[in-house]
Parts: sequence; structure tokens; C-alpha cells
Amino acid sequence: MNVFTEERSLANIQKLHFIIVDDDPLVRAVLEKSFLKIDFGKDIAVIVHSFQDGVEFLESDWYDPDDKYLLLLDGIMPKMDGIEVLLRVRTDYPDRNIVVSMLSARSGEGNIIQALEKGADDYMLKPFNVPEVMARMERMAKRMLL
Amino acid sequence: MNVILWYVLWGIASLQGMAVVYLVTCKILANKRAGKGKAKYEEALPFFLEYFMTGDPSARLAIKELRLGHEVSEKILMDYLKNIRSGDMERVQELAADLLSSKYKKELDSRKWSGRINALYAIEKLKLDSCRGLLLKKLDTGKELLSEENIQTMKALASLNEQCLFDVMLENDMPERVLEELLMRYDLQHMEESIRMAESTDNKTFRRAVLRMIANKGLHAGFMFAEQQLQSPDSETRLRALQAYSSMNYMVDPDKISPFLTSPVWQERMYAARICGKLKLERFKPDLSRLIADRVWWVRYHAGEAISRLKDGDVVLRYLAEEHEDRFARDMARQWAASGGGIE
Repeated sequence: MNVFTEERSLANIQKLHFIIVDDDPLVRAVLEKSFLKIDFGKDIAVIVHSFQDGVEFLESDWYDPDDKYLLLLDGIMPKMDGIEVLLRVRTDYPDRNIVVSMLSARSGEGNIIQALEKGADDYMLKPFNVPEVMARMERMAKRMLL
Repeated sequence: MNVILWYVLWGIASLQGMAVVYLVTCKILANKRAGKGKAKYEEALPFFLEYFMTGDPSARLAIKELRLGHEVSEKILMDYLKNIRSGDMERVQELAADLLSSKYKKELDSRKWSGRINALYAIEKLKLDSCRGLLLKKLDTGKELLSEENIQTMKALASLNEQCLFDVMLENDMPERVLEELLMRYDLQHMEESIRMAESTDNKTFRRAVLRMIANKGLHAGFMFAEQQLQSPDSETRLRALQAYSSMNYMVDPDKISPFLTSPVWQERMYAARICGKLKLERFKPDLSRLIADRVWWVRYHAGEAISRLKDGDVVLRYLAEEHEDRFARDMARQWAASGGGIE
């Protein structure tokens, strides 16, 4: 697991975690680099985590009820695919501070509907446009922070 | 006798043992190579991304200094193109030209067919302009025109927006599917140019291929051309025009569609029905109610779908399901009514 943090000194800072779960190191690196550029002002610390598969993510100690989370899940992964990770997150953790978006090469209507029905808040397709993914994630983050 | 048998068995066992040792050694070496390649990939990736995302010249310099093998550079570039829909394609192409064009130029002359084909695929994918001259030299417009290698050469040239290829397409008798695949690789500006060429050529296959390209891309610039081709005396061309028409969400002149609703060609009736539904052409409700009883299942299916998209389509479908005199029409109406017709 990789963690990248923007250090902030204020005690009452709110933490916003971007979590990328994708087995492709190139995708993880592109997204990590891009998420770290997002700035929500001095009261919000952006922390970026990345995991190479769903099992590694779920077995990690990633959750703190006081923080906010934006998960970006790859649809097709070894060991455990994105939909299964989504189901586990939606079953085991509360909805209110976790937003989940899928980033998948599965473009079928059925796949998209299934993901949204199982609790995804958004569905994006691979190959993806980096500014578009950033804009969507930023929008969802702002809505959650309000 | 026993001794001979013993020697034979011993010989077989030692051969098997040697084969196992050989395979294990090969596997170990392959794993080592893969591990080294992976380490190189991970080392180089941040520099590539830095260059793609920021255009920082020092990152480009660092990549050169890493002295990566072609394999690693190619994998990173291909992985990037596979995952990222990028506006900074220029940087990817520049870097690819820098790092890989010498390799592909050499491979184009390779004696191995697979090596040449792989190079052609890569040139197409990475849009390596530096290979254009070689590709043009390699292009055969004679008896090998439709060989797999030559088609791939043309695809690579089309991805580089090579204009000479239009002459090859217009002057030769090439299958519609191949022409379509070539046209689809051009950028928008050249696609529009191909529409202008199709307007003035007698080559029916080229015209149909352009109509297929318009249909696949939903190209608005092709709307007028598709409309003109609806009057073509060639039924295949009319069909492609209808296909193109139905793929665009432009409002069409209903008078241009109505003759097709009574066409003797079932595919024309089917596409006309689809267009009526897609563009919600209410005035054709009576025609669609007739077509739902067509002798061809596909026409009935699309007529039902079209009715379901019209205003009060659900009411019409329920009425047809009860009252239509044709049993197949009643079935089709029932099917579309059950699937929630008229909701849109």
C-alpha cells in the first residue's frame, strides 16, 4: 500500500482520503499524482492511498469514522473484483462518509446498472480522461464535505 | 536382454531428467528477466508520467539516461495508451518516436512475418509519423493489395492521416469492410474530406463505406450526404444511407422516410421504422401499426419498438395487443407493452 499525505498543522483539520484500488501500477501512479494536486483549502487534508487489489485494501486498517472517503475501484482485478469490494464496503461500513466510484473497462449497460444498484455513486470507463476523472471526483468530494 | 532393457530405461530416464533440468533453468532465467523488466518498468514509470502529464523536459532527459530496453519503453507507452484517453497524445508520440522508431524501422524489414506485423500494429497504435516514408515504400497497390500485411500497412498509414491512401481506395476494387476500417482511422477533418470525395466518385463501394463510417461515428457532417444517398438507385447504398440516418439524432424530413415504410426491401422497412421511433415521428403511427404485422420478424420487432417510443405508445401497443387482426402483430405488441413501452 502507498500513502501520500499533505501535512497540515491545524488540529481540527478534516481528513479526506482518496483510495485507489487498481491492479495496474500505471493507473495507480497516474491517479495518485493527479489526486495529490487537488486542493480543498487549508481546513481539509487530502490523503491518497493506493492498493493493488481488493483483498489488500479490505485487510488494511483504512477506516476511521471521523474521516471522509472517496473510493475509486477498478472493475476487473485478480483475487477480488471491484463489484465484490463495493459490496463488502457497502455491507460493512456506513454510507454517509464513503463515496464509491467504479473505474472499469466493462462498458456493458448491465455492468453499469449492476454497479449502481449495488451502491456505486458513479461509474467511469477505461480508457479514461484524467481531467474528467478528477472533475467528477472533486465534485463528489465537495458534495460530501458540505 | 535384461541388460539392454535396463540401458534403454536408464537412457529414457536420463533424457527426461535433462529435459526437466533444461525447462527449470529456462523458467528461472525467464523469471529473472521478467523481474528485471518489472524493476526497470517501476523505475522508469514516474519519469514517463511526469513527462506525459507536465511536459517537463528534464523527465524526458532522465528517460533517455535510464537506457531502457525497447521492451520496457514499449510496455509503458502501450499501457498508457490502453488506459488513458489523453489530450497529450503529442508527447506520447514524440517519446515513442524517440525511443522506438529505430526498432520498428528495422522490424519492418525483418524476414519474420510476425515481427513485421507487430511493428505495423505498434506504429498504428503509437501513430509514429517517422515511419510514414517506410510505410509508403512498403505499400503494395498491385496483386498483394489485400494481403493481411498490406491491409495492416494501410491501416497504419490511415492512422497517420495519409492522404495518398484515398487514391488507392478510390482506384482499386477493395471490400467495403476494409475501406470502412481504413476510413475510421482518419481524424475528423479527413473523414469530412472523404465525404466530399464520396460525393463525386462513381465508386459505389467507397460511397457505401463512407456511409458506414458516418453511421459508426454518428458523424453530423455526413447528414446531407446520407440524405442525398436515400435517393440512390442502388438498394445497398440506400440501406447504408438509412443506417447512417438512423445513427444520427438529427431531425429528418419525414417525407424522405415515408417511401421506405412501404419498400419491397425488408431491411429498408426495418430501418425506416427504427428512424420513426428514434426521432419520434408521430405521424407515422398508422404505418408502424401496419408494419407490426409485417411478414419479417425484424420489421415487426422494430415497428413495435418504434411505437413504444412514441407519445401514448403504451396505449397504442395495448390496443394492438388486443385488437390487431394479425396474431404475430398481437404477440409483438404484447411483448413491447410488457417491456414498458411508452414510458420515455
